[in-house]
Amino acid sequence: MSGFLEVEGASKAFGGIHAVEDIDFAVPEGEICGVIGPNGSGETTLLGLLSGTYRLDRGAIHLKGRRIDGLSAHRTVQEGVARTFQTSRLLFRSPLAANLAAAAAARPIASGDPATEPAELLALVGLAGRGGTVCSSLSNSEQRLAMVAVALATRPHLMLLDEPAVGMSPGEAAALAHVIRRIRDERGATIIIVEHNMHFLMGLAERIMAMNAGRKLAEGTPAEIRRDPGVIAAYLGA
Amino acid sequence: MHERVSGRSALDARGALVSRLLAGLGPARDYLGIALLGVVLWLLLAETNAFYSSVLAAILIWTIATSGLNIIAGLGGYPSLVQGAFYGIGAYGSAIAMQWGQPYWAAVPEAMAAAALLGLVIGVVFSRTRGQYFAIGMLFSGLVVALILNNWRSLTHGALGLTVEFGFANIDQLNVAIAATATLALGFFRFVSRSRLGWRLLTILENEDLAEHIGVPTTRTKLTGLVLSAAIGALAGTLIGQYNGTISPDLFDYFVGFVMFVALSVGGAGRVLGPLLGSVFIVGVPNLLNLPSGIGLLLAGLIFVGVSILLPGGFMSAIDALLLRLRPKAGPP
Repeated sequence: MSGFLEVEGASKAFGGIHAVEDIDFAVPEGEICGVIGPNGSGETTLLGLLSGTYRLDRGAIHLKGRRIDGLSAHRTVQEGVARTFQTSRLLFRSPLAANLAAAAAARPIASGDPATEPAELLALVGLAGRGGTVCSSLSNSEQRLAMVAVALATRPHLMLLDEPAVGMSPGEAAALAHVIRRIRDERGATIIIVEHNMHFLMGLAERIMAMNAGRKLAEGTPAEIRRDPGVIAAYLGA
Repeated sequence: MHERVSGRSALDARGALVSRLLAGLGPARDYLGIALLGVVLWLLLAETNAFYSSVLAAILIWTIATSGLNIIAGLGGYPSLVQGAFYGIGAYGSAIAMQWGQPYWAAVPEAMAAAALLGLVIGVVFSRTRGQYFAIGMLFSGLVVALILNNWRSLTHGALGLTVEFGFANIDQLNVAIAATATLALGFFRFVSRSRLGWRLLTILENEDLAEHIGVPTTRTKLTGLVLSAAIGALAGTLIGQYNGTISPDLFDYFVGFVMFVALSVGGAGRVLGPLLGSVFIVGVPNLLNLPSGIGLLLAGLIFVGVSILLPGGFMSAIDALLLRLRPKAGPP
């Protein structure tokens, strides 16, 4: 196995609904990995399990050999896992730079230069010069990028992006794809993206896992996934 | 005409120099301002007549208590209505410790520790509640403490109250202690508000769900905030005991914590000087007008309603707006 992120037999039920059922998968370090599935297939729950939002019912998650399932969300962040959300979650009444400072202040020990870091992060996600803007005044796509910057400010090894391109124009989505590649190349972060925008994901992800009804349906390169009969059936209801 | 223009620009230049010097001082400027304010308050306390001095002492003691409250409620956004109970623990705890033969300076940290412990217990019990449920839990906790003060007669003498031993050489010393403690409480809040704890509390205030996901240990942060609030509330309580000479449960009834929360909101929650301004209006004005306490509360309620409607950020937000208008217009941002 890759030794970076390893998920074994992950299962999670809410009441009687099996949101995630016996998922096995591994992500090697430095990969951009996509997760797809028809709405309600359990992709967001899977991200929630990886980020400590939910606890596993069964199974195990290891990051760099350390077991991270069962940790609270803030402990998971300290282990190097950061996430963004489907609906924008920011400190909306505060300037963008204050959001980044809040993430820096949340670290267990003070580190780095808090004065220069926000500017660097904002430039990386393409929001240079927007640090003074109150987050509620940012546009939708700027808010999506701001969430990525806030997640980056926690200094993650693994970034989980939940529909980062939602509501974006094709041009904005292309810029976001460029940003995500830069984060991987320049920060060395491994990235898992849940996305319904196929055009966006097919051009960005190196490997894709397809889910349906909480189970893993297929795994492979974007080209393989596009040809997979099971995936086609799940999407078209054949 | 020409004369006037140059005069004006000279004034602007001087203003710019002053503001550059002040900016160069950085955080020291705030602490310097708070210290100067403390000296002014002490002079007012020491030099005005007995009536005004007593009103100011009451304001300052409330400023200390609400500065403590400002940590959990102002920074963290948690509607803690239990501050009156911590205030009461401070007053009773120090009075009882002094009856047992402790000097005042030793009784103070003991009373603060007792309140901090109570804050920890209350915090652990209600750590999973938010918003109005947290507020109800806090109100309930305040009621329990008030009931204990009223009914544990062997320790508190019930409704009769306790006589508090005077721990200072004279009233002048006590005045110094009150002004110095109020100054320290304001300065401590300023320090906390820019610390990592302050940032974490502000993150919780704005978005608690996000806070966990950027690494804020929310439960521990809230407990720390509540414990600090409790200890500072108790510190204020020890001073009211010293100032009044007697204490009784009605001073620390369950609604006192609510009035403290009102005072903080009126002054400006989360602002360094909010507690002082709020205490001036909620404690100072009714006392100056010599209103009976029921009428005073009614007036406080009216002020609260008026401020909530007209100035949702409290009086501090009105001062901000005023300063913004007075500041010489800079170039385009």
